[in-house]
Amino acid sequence: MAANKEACRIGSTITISGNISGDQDLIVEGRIEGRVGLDSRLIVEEIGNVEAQVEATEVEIKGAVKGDIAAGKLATLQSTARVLGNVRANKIIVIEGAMVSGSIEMDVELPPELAGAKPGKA
Amino acid sequence: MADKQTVIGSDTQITGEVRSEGGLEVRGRIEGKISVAETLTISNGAIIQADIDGRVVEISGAVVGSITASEVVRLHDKARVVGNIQAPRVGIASGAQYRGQVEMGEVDVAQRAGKAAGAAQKIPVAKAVARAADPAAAVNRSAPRVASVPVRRADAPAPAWARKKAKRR
Amino acid sequence: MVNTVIGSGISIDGEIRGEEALVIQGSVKGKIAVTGDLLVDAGATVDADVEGKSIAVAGRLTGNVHASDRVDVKADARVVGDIKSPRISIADGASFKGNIDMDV
Repeated sequence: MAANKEACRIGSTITISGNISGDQDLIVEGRIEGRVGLDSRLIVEEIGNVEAQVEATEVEIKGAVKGDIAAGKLATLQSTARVLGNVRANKIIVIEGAMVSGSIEMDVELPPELAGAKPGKA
Repeated sequence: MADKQTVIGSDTQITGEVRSEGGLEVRGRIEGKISVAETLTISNGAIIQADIDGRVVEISGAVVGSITASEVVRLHDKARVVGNIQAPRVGIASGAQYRGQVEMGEVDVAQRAGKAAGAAQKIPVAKAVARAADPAAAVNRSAPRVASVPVRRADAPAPAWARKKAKRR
Repeated sequence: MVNTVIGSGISIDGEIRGEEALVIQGSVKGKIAVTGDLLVDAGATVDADVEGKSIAVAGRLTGNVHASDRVDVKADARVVGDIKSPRISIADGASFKGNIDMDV
């Protein structure tokens, strides 16, 4: 886990309900309910469970998230991820096996031929 | 990839519906509809404005349209895709660009049993209740979104965004 | 082994519950209830009622403290609130304001 500051870990028996903010990487093995806003990295481990709006510079999901995810740089949904909510990021990687229900939104640079095209009006 | 692969070359442009009982690789332009029984490969450089249907859909080109696959949709490095995806498995590689709704069936975001004791025990009950209240959601894997919204712990209110979506239907 | 650390770069406004040891180095406002040990480390700011087995405070804590085993208020700690615990120590140099209830 590359981090300039030591990452902080929320253990598997811990539940935090409320608002979490900060600039330190956060590894979640427990449960978070509420809202997460980090100028750093959020990692939700396989046993982690997050029911919250999430904003962070980078997000890596291996566990369950219910709520919208916004990542400044990168969102990675690993093969064990279960996400119910919308994911928005500059770059999003979804590893096959991840379960997602919601929208995935990156900026898409379409070729000029498709510039005005709208899905559904094909 | 299928054995006798049909290829639509990069100089070819088709407007209308393209169907294949086998596999198909598209390097050119298609506007309309593509329906393939096996693997559909949209190569880098291909320009597609069509709704797509296949067993396995591999995309490295540009696509605007809805994509449905019975097995898997893979967006590779150079893929540029705008439209909804419906498939049990979806992979988006680093470098791919995508915007749309993704539907893979019911997503279980309930807490995993075992470690986190207290809350975990409530989940089966909450789920059972949710399913009983909406039997269609429990069965129909392809039901969009509705299927997953009721899955929440009984003691945890749905977040605002979820309630909004639920109401909209 | 302490598994959960709320680092100095993290602020929590809400409730923390759990069944393990917890170290707070950042800031927590709300409520903390663990069945394990709790350390409010030097530099931490806790504005919450706290519950734990053995609770040590080296930082700033405003709120009531309830420990099932013991409470240690360390030398540079600042505690404002009532302490309820069978065993309590307050180190020389600590500042404390509140009631102490050792359940006699």
